[in-house]
Amino acid sequence: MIEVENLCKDYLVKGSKDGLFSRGKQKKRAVSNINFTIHPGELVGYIGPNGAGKSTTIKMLTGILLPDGGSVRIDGLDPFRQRKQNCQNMGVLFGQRSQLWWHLRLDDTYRLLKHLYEIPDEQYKARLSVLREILELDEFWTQPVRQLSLGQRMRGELAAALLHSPSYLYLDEPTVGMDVLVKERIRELLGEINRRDGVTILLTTHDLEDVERLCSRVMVINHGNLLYDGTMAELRHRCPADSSVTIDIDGEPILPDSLRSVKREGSRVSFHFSRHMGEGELLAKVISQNHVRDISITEPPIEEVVRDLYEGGENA
Amino acid sequence: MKLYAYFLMAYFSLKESLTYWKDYISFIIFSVLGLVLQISAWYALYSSVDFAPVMGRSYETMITYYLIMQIVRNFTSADGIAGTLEQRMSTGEIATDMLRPAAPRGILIARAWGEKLYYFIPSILIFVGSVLVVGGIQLPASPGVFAAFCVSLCLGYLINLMFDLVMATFAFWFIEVNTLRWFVTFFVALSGTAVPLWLLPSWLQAICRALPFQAAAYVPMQIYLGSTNPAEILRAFGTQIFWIIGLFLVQEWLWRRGKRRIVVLGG
Amino acid sequence: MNPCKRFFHRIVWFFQLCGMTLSMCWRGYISHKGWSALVHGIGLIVGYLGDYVVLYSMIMNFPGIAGFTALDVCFLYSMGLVCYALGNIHTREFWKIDDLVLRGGLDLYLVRPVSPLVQMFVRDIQVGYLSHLILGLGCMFLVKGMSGIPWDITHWLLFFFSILAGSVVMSGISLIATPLSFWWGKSRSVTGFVRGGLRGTLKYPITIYPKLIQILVYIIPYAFVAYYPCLYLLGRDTSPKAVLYPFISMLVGIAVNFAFWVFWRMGLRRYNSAGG
Repeated sequence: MIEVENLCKDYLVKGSKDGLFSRGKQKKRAVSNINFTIHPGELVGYIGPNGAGKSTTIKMLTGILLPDGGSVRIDGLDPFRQRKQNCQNMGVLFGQRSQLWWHLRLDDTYRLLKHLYEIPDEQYKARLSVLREILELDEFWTQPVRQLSLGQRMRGELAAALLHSPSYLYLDEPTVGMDVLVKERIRELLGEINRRDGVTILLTTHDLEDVERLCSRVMVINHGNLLYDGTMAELRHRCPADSSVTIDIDGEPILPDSLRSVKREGSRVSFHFSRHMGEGELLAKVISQNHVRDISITEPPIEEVVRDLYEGGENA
Repeated sequence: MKLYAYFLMAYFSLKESLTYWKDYISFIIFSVLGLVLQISAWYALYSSVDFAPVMGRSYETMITYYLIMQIVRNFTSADGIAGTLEQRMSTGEIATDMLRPAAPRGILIARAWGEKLYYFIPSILIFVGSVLVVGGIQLPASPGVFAAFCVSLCLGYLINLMFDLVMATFAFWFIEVNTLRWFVTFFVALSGTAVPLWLLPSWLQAICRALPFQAAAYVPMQIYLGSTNPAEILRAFGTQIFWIIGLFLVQEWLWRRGKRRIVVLGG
Repeated sequence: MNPCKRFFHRIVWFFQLCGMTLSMCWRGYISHKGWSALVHGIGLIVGYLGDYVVLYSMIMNFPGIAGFTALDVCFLYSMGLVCYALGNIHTREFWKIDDLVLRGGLDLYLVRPVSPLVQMFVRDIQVGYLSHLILGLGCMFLVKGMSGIPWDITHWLLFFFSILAGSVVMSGISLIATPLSFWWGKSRSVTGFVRGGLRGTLKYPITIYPKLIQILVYIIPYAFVAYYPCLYLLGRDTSPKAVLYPFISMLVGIAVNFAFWVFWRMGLRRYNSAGG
């Protein structure tokens, strides 16, 4: 169980230059009194814009940073003071930094990890064959890591993070830079791992889709404050921001009057649409009444959701 | 393309280099340290013979040789154009370079000059400082000799440039230039830049004189330290021009073959 | 498990780790460079041979430099080369400390149940330094053969011990400035000076340098890499105290590495509180 209580972290930031030399140091609160508890087996999304404090929180959970206030307990352990013990039970995956040895095959890195984590032979063999199966690593098992695509590499990284059967898995922007199909695959795999092994997963991301598809619970952070901790549906319900739909139509469009912010550009029609306002039916109507060649739905960016949430929080 | 455009490229390269002032300081410290170590060595060597001349050259001549050689090296070095070209080949940027109105080699040279000027100014300052510390160096026999020296420097630069361009074209055939460089270092060490050729055994001297490297470094130094005899000076120029033309032809031929290969392979 | 057994177990574990990463680095090196590794190795040797030619021909025209003959200096230079290679087999990952701290690569080490120091020591083993070793050792044997100085068992033992001691000193020197990155971000200029510029002092006997430099090579103890250990081996100083120099070098080496360790821990603590 992850227990976070009144967690705080300050950074000393160089202030702006006043005159030639003076450059006072300012304290910037990166994380401010965050409280949450994650129970074993949960799959939690942790979202927020850049600089919101996501990475800082994860670093404190994984024992990289020392909190300035409050406490973190993972199964009762302090991740910083009991680092080695805690590390045995956690796996970390950084989206933009690879832990795999570039010019060698995957199993070379895995054997090294086996040694680092002191995994017994039998357990290692069993675990590896399970991971190979779930993550479908056999298709590129004999290739050096440098030849793998991003999706393949990410699967290899997941195996590396899970090799020692940790109870906790922390993912920092795991789907960054991937195309849609690959992202979907990774999300499926994460879901499967969570179900099969009961691994508690905490996932930070920019991408709302990741959370929507995958997480039962989502936490929103901005400016170091935890703004929301609950389900995705509830979050969308709270957020009044609209999605925008663009459809490519053959012939003249037949549109209901109640459609909002309609714009037309040749064969392209775009309008606003809000799921939780019950406009799903409206969308279905548009599709059935027109010959739609192509459709694209753009969700409100996370910044808008968060901004609305923040403003809503302010006003509340 | 207008010469002015090349000027601008050199200027911007210089400006860009100036932002890395920490490298500037590092360069100065490195150079000064290297100078101190080497001059200490020459001093210690000559002390062992009580400062009598060795191989007909005095301690003052040796120090002069060393200090002036640093200037010669800085001025005539071709600034790793070969390495840059190879890098641009591997990233594919060479394709865009070829599309530009200016020749890619021209661009590289212009950029290199900006960087060269950046390092030239502190090296002059260090030179002046060193001369003051060692208490003076030998001057050329006459202003004419000095003028000939300057001309020889320019010729030396051209030799190094041609040679580097030859090396650079090997990139078209995917030969790792950096590895080649190690082999070349061996000969460059025998070009007179590290130790004057008069200290080498005669058979080695003969080999060195047959190579282009000494034409870029040792020959200008010979002019500087030499007499006002015009025959000598002209012979020196002759050697340098011979190598410039020879290497120019080689690199032109290689460049043309290489260009064709690029087209065939599609970059 | 009692503490003795546990200590022994850790040692065995560490050596197994070294063996594993050595094999991985070797295979990675070969698979990455292939045949060009061989060419690169040969090219490197040829390049250094140029240095030797310069060094030898410089001095051979003189009776000597501070009492060292041309052959002696070549021996000295080779000792420096061998110690440089051996001392830096495991330090390459620390040369990237700037990048690791700024881009967060260090975090990957901190999330494992093993000390980041140990992980970093074995991460990027420099198999390419084999060429330096072959060249340096070859040269030293050649010089010994050419100079005809007889070596007894003491000399041979001291010879190998000097190489070990010199390497320990070299690795300490290589590492000592790296934790600066934790405070300064880019520490390249300082580490460049310590590791690169000052390394030039290994070429000649230190007695020829001005006082300031001589003091410097005691603080950043290049003096103990080659000069002091070689005095007895080359017959430049046959007094009994000269026999002790390799051992003093080893002590100096341990001290420098210890200083690095202390400095590193300070830096890491700062990283833990202030981030990258």
